[in-house]
Amino acid sequence: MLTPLGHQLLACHTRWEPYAGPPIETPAVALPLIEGLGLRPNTPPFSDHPLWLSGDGPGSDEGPGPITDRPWAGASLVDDEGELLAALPAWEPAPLRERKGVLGPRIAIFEGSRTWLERPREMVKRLLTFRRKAGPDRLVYAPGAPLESWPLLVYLGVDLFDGVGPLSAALRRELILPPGHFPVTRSRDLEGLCSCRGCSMDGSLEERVRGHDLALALETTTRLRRVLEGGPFRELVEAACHPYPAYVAALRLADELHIKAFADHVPRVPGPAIRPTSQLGANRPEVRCWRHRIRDYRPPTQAPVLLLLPCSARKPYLTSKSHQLFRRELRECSRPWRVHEVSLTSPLGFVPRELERCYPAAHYDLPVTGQWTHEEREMARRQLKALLRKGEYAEVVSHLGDQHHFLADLIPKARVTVQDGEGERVTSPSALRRLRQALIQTTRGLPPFTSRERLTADIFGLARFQLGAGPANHFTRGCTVKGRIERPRLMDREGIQLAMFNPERGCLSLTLEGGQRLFRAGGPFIELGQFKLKGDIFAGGVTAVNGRFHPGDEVVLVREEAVVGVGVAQIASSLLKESQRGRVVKVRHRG
Amino acid sequence: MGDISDWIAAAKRSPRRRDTSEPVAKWTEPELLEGESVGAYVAVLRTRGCHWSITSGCSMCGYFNDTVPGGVPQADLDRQWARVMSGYKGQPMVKLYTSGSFLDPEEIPASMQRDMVRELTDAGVVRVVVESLPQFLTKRNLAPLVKAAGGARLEVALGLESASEQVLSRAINKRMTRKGFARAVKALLESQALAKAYVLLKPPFLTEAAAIRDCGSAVRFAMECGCTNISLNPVNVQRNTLVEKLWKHDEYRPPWLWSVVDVLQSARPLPADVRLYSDPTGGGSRRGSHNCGKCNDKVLKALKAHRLGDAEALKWVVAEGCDCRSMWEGEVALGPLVRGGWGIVDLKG
Repeated sequence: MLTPLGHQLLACHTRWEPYAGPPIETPAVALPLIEGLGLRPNTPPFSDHPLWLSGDGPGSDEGPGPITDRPWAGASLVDDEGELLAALPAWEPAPLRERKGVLGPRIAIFEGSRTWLERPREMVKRLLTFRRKAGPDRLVYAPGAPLESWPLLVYLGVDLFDGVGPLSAALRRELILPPGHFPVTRSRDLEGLCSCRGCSMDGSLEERVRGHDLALALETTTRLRRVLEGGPFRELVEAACHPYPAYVAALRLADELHIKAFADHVPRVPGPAIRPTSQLGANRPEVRCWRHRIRDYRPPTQAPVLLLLPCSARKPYLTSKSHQLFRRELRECSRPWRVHEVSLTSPLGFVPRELERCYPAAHYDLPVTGQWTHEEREMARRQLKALLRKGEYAEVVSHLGDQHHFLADLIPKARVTVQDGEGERVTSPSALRRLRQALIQTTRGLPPFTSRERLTADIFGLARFQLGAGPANHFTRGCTVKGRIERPRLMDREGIQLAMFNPERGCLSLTLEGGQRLFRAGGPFIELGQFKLKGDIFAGGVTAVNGRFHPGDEVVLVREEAVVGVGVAQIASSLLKESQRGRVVKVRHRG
Repeated sequence: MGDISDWIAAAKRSPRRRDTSEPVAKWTEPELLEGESVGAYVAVLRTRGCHWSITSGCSMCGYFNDTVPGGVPQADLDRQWARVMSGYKGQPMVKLYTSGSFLDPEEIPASMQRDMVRELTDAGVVRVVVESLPQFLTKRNLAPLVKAAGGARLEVALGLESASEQVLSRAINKRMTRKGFARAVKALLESQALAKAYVLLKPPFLTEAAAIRDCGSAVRFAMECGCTNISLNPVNVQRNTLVEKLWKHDEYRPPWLWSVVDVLQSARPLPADVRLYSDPTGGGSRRGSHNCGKCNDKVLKALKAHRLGDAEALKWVVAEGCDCRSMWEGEVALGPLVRGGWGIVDLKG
């Protein structure tokens, strides 16, 4: 269970069954949400948490600066018996003192989320700083956060909530039904609105409203946990934020200004398909990371003819009907492997054929209407410009259809094969015929290039994309590609297999020998302590982390300068350095 | 940044210029004197203002708005006094206030203090009530006043606000300790004056539940010290104060009237010679202690009846209740889970 910030979501757990028994008094109802951790307010770590103490509040050295019109932020008070009197929005605590809850995890308290939520820019900055300082092994608790904000706050790194938000709404006799609160004054107001257990239980109006609001709180936490286990988490967060301008602003700012906090944790292997259906989604970390990664991309030099294609609804594109048709035309020309196919897509930008199985190129879905927004057009233009700069293309064939017109000035000499102005479809026989002719003409006279040679170039390109330019150069030097076209294998000079392309993962899976070679090539590796290597690697077994990797990346396991295994990273390298708990590498091969 | 005194300073504005020959206000209100309901004449003189407010100030106190920086010339003070006396209609009880300390010679010269008290006694006043910071309450300062009062009883009201040193220094910024207060009350009693304590309900930053607890312990402490009259003052949002700033940011809500009732009720039974009551300033308004819109008047009426000796009034109003009482109970029950003085029910949740 990993959040976008890479830490494990440990909280939101509760043993509480709200409506099984007789109605529960308010305080008892309020507590279970945090009792799941075996904690009660007024018992450590609550009563003497460092946040309560003076001097830990305002003016921490590296935190974001103070809010000038709220100088009291960070005020907190305990009375003479040590009981909490007040805790106001705080700066991050300077030293996070170690404190153990009954069930183990330590807790850092992010005060004042209610207040900060109205100031998205500061809130995001503060919360992400706070999360980073708290480290991966601590729970971040946001007391009093309104229920509607929970998905956003989980996205930004909060683990633990309490019932104050929903209970306040209940005390105001408001039924929380996102995107709004419904005031309820008579039982008639409740009828038909909701059929949850709270609403349908026997009891006074007050009890039923409270029942509903708390049931929704539990439902929210359960849902969040469930989607974090491998569901549409970001989609849930976006949907929850949409009705609230401040929350959307927070998410947008997190994507825009704080992408670094998230980028490391974007997985490199397929998860659930991403659905960037809105402007928010178009900027989500997976998408931004793709655009960032593709900047290092080098087109295969042996293919001087660029064929620009539209994307397809089915992924990978090659499995789609339209791309099958394009491929059929491509095979008609004399030197098909001298043609470099590149799909243009929103929001990823461009996707070369050899990378189209990589995450998330083969794992996204978005509404296609043929209308490109201004932002999408600008993005596409930037990406195409970059591609043209990198590639040494002698010819360009544009089979883009209705996307061509806003790119036309970038590729003035391109052969345009779809008459978009006349509403011609890219799969229409006439367009396909023109495509064939254009390809035949542009590849005429080029030296021969076999499909095997092209496959080798593509796998080298993929290795470069996956491992980074430096390590990939060393890694692939002198290698050959063998095997079926669906699962090609990378062999070294001696004919020993180093890796195999795994189409499901969309990347090269390394063998033990491949791991040794990657280690020598300067790839990322993890140093292990002295223990017998069996099963997977847990945080405790790691003594040092070298190089950068994302969850899903191949990592080499090293002990005393010798490669002892190779596996798949489960968390980002940046986080692994701080982590003390959890499985960190799934081991594939042991030496 | 900084600490509470900086925040208070930042919230302050210099008072508007006023006619210094006019007192701030004067009125007559019903009061209980020796178990009897009488009229009390109240006058607030315009002076240089509270010594502490000039130095720094308290987080909830906006009385400096009624003061004159630099002080009021003697001639104008005399004119104010003449205006006050012209309105006096023989009430047996007189409350003589300034927006500071009556006993501070910088506000009213010591000789004038004595003359004022003597004049009132001569006019037939039975009880004179003045206010002061504890530092001016020494036997040496009090002796001449008590003497001037002669047959009338001098009662000095002083603000305890809270019995918690933490709350005093970090939520209120009242530079006073428990010890200092106890000493001042002792000096009063030894000088044969009566001691009246002001106790604050819900200083800024405190949650409703913490405020009730804090106020209860302040009441107990005031009684231990020997105060016989305890006035419970729920915080109201006064202009140009830190409390007002917090309030505007949705980070403060004045206490519920139910909390006032609760503190008054749970302090019982009281010793026979002690009076505990509350007359909430601005009660029922957004800036003052309030409940829902429906029951404010009812509870305020009960509080008034209680103040004037009806011991059962509060019991009845609690028994009668209101829809909003369960909201208040809920908020109090959440206790420390609510962090800070914002109101979970009528401010944004």
